[in-house]
Amino acid sequence: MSSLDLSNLELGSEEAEYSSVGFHYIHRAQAGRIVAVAEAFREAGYHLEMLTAEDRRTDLEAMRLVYTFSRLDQLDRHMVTVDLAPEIPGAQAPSLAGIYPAANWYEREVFDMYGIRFDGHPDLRRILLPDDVEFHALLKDFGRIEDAPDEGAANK
Amino acid sequence: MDPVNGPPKPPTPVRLPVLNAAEMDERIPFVASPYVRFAVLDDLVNMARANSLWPLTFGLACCAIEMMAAGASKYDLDRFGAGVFRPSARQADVMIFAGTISCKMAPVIKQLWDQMPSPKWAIAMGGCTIDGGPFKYPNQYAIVEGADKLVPVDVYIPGCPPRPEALIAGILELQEKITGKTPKSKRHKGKRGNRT
Repeated sequence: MSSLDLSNLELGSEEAEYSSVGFHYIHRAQAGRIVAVAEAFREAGYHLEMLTAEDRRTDLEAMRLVYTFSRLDQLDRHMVTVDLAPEIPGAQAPSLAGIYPAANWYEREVFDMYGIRFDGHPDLRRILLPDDVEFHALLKDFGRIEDAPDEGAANK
Repeated sequence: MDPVNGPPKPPTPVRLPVLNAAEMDERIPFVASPYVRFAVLDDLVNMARANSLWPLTFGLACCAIEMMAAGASKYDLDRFGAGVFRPSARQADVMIFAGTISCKMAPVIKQLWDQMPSPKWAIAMGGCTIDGGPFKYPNQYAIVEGADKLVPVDVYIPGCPPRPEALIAGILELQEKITGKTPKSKRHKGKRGNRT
């Protein structure tokens, strides 16, 4: 197990204050590099702690993926953000399922809730919402209460 | 020949009304019941059914915790014959909807319900299974708003979650519905005490 080497990956890295944000480093990666980044973390013995997304289409004009890597033998947490195209459907990122098997369901959840597709995912189906729905529930423009019809139409 | 009325008229033929299904439902109040009733035997069988209600081992959310408590020694559903939770729908008589019904879960629930042999009963336990409860809001997308959108419900138990005593009360209510009589264990002093 080698030490973590993130050079040559063109990350926008900055040190963070762990006591206030909970991370020691925050990196910004390009979508094409995330597989190499994950391989570097994997090589150094980190696990994928979490993968989620943010709908930042209104303020940053991007869909943002948030990866969290950490390790158990020492306190060292890294957050990697990846900005994608702001179109849904259309935003795409490479899948990490081949490197971290744990990414499989995380990516299914992100696809389910945000509509971001993952290239090379072995089984990109919905995981939480019913299979036959046509929306992505955590997008900011979905299902606003003030858009609802007045009476009793909440259930389809 | 009668000189006043002329020749006798043939009797008017009796015409039985031909009813379609909707009219049948309207005229015959309870179509599902058999037309030939073996009253005493029916009562006996219903008594047996009511006192051996076997619920399906099936919990959906936090109400299931209260259901488990009701089945455990402190509240002891076995006192009323309803503690034999069956792990197979094929052996169960009553489905206790204990918790929030998500849209993802609904097809599974329907399948389990269809697997249960008749006669079968449904108890909606808690606010979620009555009308969506705390998860009901305009434009919500995840929750089935009430167990009666899926299956016919016999007894509704309000609460969030209902206490085990409330579930027991619901079971007794169901027993009363099945037999038409107030079960002995429910006859307590007070307003309802005189009912038999």
